[in-house]
Amino acid sequence: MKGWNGCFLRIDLSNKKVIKQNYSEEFAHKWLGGRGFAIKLLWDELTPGTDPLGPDNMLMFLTGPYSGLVIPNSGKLVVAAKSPITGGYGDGNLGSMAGPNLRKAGYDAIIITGKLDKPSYILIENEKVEIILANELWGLDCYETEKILKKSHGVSTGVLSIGQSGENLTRFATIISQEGRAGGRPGMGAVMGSKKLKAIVIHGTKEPLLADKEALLKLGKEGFDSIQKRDNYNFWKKQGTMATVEWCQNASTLPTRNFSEGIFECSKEIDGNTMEKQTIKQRGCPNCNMICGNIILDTNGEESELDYENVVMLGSNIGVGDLKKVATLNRICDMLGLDTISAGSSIGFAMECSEKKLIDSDLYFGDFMGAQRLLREMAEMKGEGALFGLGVKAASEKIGKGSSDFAIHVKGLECSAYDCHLCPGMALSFGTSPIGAHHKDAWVISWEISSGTREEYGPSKADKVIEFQRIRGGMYESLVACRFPWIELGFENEWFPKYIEAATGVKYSLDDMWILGDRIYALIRAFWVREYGGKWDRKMDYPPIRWFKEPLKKGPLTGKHLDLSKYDLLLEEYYKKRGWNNLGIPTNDTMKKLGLEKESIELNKILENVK
Amino acid sequence: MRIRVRIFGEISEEIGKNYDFEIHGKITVLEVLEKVSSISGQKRGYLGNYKIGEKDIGYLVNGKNIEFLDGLATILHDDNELVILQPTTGG
Ligand code: SF4
Repeated sequence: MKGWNGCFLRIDLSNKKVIKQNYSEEFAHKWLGGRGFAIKLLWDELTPGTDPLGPDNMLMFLTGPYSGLVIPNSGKLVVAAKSPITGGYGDGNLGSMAGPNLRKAGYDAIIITGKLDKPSYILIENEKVEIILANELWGLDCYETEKILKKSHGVSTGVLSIGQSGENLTRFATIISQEGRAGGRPGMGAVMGSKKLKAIVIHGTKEPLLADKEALLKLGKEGFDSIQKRDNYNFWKKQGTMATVEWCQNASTLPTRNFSEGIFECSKEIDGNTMEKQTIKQRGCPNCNMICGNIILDTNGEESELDYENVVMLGSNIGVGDLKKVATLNRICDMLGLDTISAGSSIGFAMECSEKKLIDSDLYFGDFMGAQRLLREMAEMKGEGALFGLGVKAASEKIGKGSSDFAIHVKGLECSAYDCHLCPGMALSFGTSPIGAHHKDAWVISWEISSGTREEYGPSKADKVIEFQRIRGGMYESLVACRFPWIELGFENEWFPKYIEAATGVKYSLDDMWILGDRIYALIRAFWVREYGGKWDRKMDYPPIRWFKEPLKKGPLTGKHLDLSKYDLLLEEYYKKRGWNNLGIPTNDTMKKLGLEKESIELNKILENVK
Repeated sequence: MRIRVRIFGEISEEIGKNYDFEIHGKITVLEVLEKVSSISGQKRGYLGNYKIGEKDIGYLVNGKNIEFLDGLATILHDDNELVILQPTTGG
């Protein structure tokens, strides 16, 4: 096989069994890689109802045919499993040396099942695969862990590790690499911790066989040059995603105090301009010439890598208006392996519960010391952290007293940093995201606001969400390529089929990519339905209830909120365009059209239980 | 009357970040934008690469998108602030 390695590394931790499994070209062509592989493997192999934190859950690290090659923004890796925070499909991606090393070791994915008796790590050096005891690493943070492992195995290795939060099963623990490259928001770090797996160290020295290496190198160079010549390249390099703080403040979409408002009185203290004055260096993923991680020094003089999401969720969303303090909170999350978005949302939720006296706590919005304490407690699952480390949905169910009205999540996953009191398109994107509320797939908010259609619920919103889901959630997540060249600099999608053809020899059109995206979306949806059975409900595709019930109270959009009946019609429109029924479940026809005949038979059996 | 214009995003590097205008009589959003375009030496009817009036850039008057007001025909009043909001990076 060319372009792909054609080989999965399967590791059963319970029996310490390692299998190198070749897979078919047909499988590769149909599912491409990354998220495509992940959902097909989960569907085929995971028993419905499997405990996400039990030994049978599958933890997967996946590349695609694009990964690790010397072409633009190819240093990403997908991590996927059944999620312990949502109970449905979970994935995320991170950029570090781990992805390229995995490809060079000769594997396209690692599939891990079972559970170790004692904490250990996996060492992969090309064909050699070892499981090594890691008692001395257990209890260490991700920074210390990676430092020690790199000292033993070399600085050019890729290291993926969990911190204390993964070990203690915080439901939104992530997997960390290179001090701050985090992936797997929906608790992928907790799945790793449940298997007592502290880290994976990967070192590869081989090259995947390519269909036309010369053409790929030439195209790679052209791509890098083209990116560098884009009009907004220099602007992007200065602030990366942080320019969005100022933009969201102006558009009243900056999550503030647990998403109760869209503007923050101290936004200037945490925005991209403030960051620019403090940036000491930048960091990025391998094979990228638009590196976007900006590093500043925190209140302790330690380095912290910032981007829009973590700054807002640990800043305005919890009432902290000082970038250095935000940087401190961000660094703690990265060290402990906590997802910054869910951590910020959980702290904001806890602060609101405390201010409303629904819990016995002295937390308040803006409480920097309290936020630090809660982060540590969530990573230990102790004190107040034992409750809030479950995520806001589960915490609100335990607290009761109406707190679910301001628990900001979809399907159990906390919302990323866009307030949608008046953005129905972005709300639909959160509602229908395949992992719960996340912006990774359909980030339509910039279009929605700039196009002057902010208050509309018409079909164009559903079209836009689907268009973005196909491109970002389908093509990029399966190629395993970063979405930023396209969305930020206008690097055309047409480049990607060319890269894939040079790497694999297989011709894909962009239309093929969109069909692939639809296939992946349909199967992920079928997976959710299979897991939820009779409990599946179209209301699971609703955005947080606060955006319907509680109007904005500040700023130019005072009084505005989403309209439930209009949202419901928009959702209906979305389902129709996707070929899903009015419960949001793909119809038989749709499944067949997408080449999912076999899967549709199983789905039908499940549907007998779904009303 | 006094009208303030603030420009965000990459185009501010081309056309400037702030403008203050002293205006006598009535003025619309469109007229202010044309003023900014001409003062900053842009092609007529353009702000950087963006054509004024095309739906790929947001204009806010005192924080309210002009789509909720009278569009480009929105009349500005004393001490109003017009924000020019380019599509953002970030997602
Ligand atoms: S643009 Fe940022 S996220 Fe994307 S590959 Fe480059 S450094 Fe990584």
